[in-house]
Order: sequence, then structure tokens, then C-alpha cells
Amino acid sequence: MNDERLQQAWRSATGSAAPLPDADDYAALLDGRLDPARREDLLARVAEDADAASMLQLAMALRSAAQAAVAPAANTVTPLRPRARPHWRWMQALAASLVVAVGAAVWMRPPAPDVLRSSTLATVSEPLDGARLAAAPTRLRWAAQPGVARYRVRLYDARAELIWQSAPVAEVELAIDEAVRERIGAGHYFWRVEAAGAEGTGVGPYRFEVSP
Amino acid sequence: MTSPRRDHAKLARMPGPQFDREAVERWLTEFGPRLRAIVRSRCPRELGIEPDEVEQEVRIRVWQALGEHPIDHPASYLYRAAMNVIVDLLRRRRARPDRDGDALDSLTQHAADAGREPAAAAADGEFAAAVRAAVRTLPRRRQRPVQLHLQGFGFAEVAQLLGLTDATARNLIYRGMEELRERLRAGGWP
Repeated sequence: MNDERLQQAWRSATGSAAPLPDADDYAALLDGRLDPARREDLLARVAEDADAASMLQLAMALRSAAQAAVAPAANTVTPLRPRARPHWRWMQALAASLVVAVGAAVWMRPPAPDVLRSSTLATVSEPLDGARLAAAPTRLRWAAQPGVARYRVRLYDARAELIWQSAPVAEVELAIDEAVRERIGAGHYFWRVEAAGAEGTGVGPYRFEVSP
Repeated sequence: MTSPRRDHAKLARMPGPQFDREAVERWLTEFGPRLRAIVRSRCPRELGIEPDEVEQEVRIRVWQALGEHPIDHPASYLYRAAMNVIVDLLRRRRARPDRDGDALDSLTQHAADAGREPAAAAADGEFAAAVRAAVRTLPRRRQRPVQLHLQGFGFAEVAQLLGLTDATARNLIYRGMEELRERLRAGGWP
């Protein structure tokens, strides 16, 4: 029973006939301008209503994009490098990067998410990071990155062996060829998205497990 | 649709508060491709929301706002403007009598249910009801993180929304999801 099946079931079962919250409500939630009671109401609606959840996810993506557009230098995402301002989360990210860099053995077994997830920026990937899938994914999707025109995806097996890399793509998603999917049997996999022509920057690694 | 050069000239001519209009144009130029990518990836094509149309509407609203009042928090203004434009376009599409209103009711219910066998749909419905009931039995502290995760929010997003650390959110979700699976298996769901 993988996450994907449970998520599909939940989203199909949640909905509401009530009008969707206004765009300003989502903005107020993300900006921390809602009083606790209203905040709780809105989060309850999001938890119970797939449409409200989609709208909030849209708001989060737009907010991140707007922040990057207004202050690109301060918001550019290079998850494998620590940010300039000291913060305990960055120390985690730095430690995770070092572990990933020097410890190939770490890749031999399913690592803890702390090790794998080096970005502290809220990003949404598909499959979701840590997803357990019944079959090889048919497509990969990631959040648009500031200033990146083309992306390249690299897929690794549990031993950190590169098993596939995509041609550069301009979109934030790509389909996985059947021939590649045949090579994705049961096990753990990791994928990274890099700015084409600027290896070393990007997002991920994200992980998924194929468990038929 | 106006050309970028004409847009810039219009921006520069605008009366209004003291404001660095060149900076605003830079923000719009930076924001545009990101906005289009988000619309492309998150708004199903059948909703009829065109990325270029959204970008142009956002530009217009920002110009109008510049003529009326200062924009103190540009990032906040940009994304709220974009959200409002998308919501307005959705409502406008929904109001069109020549379109299938059902297809516009949701950002999420698109194409997924097309061509489903009734028996399969019924089985899925029973499973969905079982998931819903099982989530309600989870410990209260894990319920909301699990619900948000099931709606598609990542660990960091759940942490942000609930005011938790990333590690706490991840822990609550992992444990909650495992518990959810156990309860469903105990209920006879494979």
C-alpha cells in the first residue's frame, strides 16, 4: 500500500461544496497574518478539501517564485551548498551534503531523509520525496528553479550508480521512456534535477522506492 | 498583447508615487517565466488558463497599482496578484455558458476519472472511505500532518504550515502513515 495510492484515495474522498477561500486568505496564511482561529479553520479546510489544497500549493509556488524574482541573488536555490546566513537548518544541510559527498556507502541502503534532502526550500516533486510506488514512475516533476532555462535529470540506483540521465528539457517535468522504466525494478532510487550546463546546482536528491 | 518595449514605455510614463519603476519592470521580467512555468505545471490544460494571459494580467494589475499606491512588499504583491488573476480566470471560465462547467470546478479533478469502469470506481470509493475513516482514528497530533501529506504537501511544506521543525513534521508523517497502513491492513485492505 504505497503513498501514491493513499494520496489518490484521500484526494478523491475530500471535497467541499462551500466556496473556495479567497486568494487573499491563502496569502494571509503564508504571510502569517491570520489569527490562530482563522488559521486553524483554513488549515482544516485545506486538509479536507483537495481543491483548497491545490490552491494553497499554487499559492506557495507563486510566493516562492515572486520572492526569487524580487531578490534573485538571495533566493537562488543551490541545495547542495549552505546558505550564507548561519542557521541550524543550514548546518543540517551542510552536514547532509558532506555525508553525501564522502559516503558512497550511505547509498548502499535506504538513507534517512535528513541525509538525502539537502534543500530547506519548500519544493514539491513528483513522485513526492520518499514516495513508495507500486511501479516505476511514468514521469518526474519538480519545482521551477529561479533563472534556470533548461534542466537535466539524473537517476541513480541505491548504490549511487547513474542509471539514466535525460536530455536537457525546458519544462519542469518529463516522461520516463518505457526502456528506462524497465530498468527500474524493485528497490530504492534517487534523482536530482540540475541546471543544464551548470552541473552542481539544482534540487534533490529526491528518493522513491519501487515496491510492487 | 503589447510588446515588452511598449510595456516598458507605458510603465515609465505612469504617474504615481515615488517608486523605482525600472525595478518593478525587472521584477516582472524575472517573475514572468517562473509564473508561466507554474501555470503550465499546475493548472490542467482543460481549464483553459493560458500562461501568457496570466502573465499579462499580472503586469496590468501591477501597473494599475503603481498608479494608485506604493507597493511596499513587492514579492507579496506579485504573488497575491498572480493568485487573484488565476482565481478570477477560473471563475470567468466557469461562468462561460459554452464550456463544461464540471471540468472547471476543480484544479484537481481533471481527466483522472474519465473512462472509469463503474465497478472499479465503486471499489476505489470504498477504499477512499476506509482511508478517511482510518485517518480519523489516528492520534490527534499526527492527524493534520498526515492529512496534509495525503493532500500532496511535502515534509518542509507541512512543517511550514503547522509551525513545526522539518524533523518533527517528517517524524509525525512517517509514524502516522505507518499507523494508517496498519489500520487499513487490519481492516482487510491489501
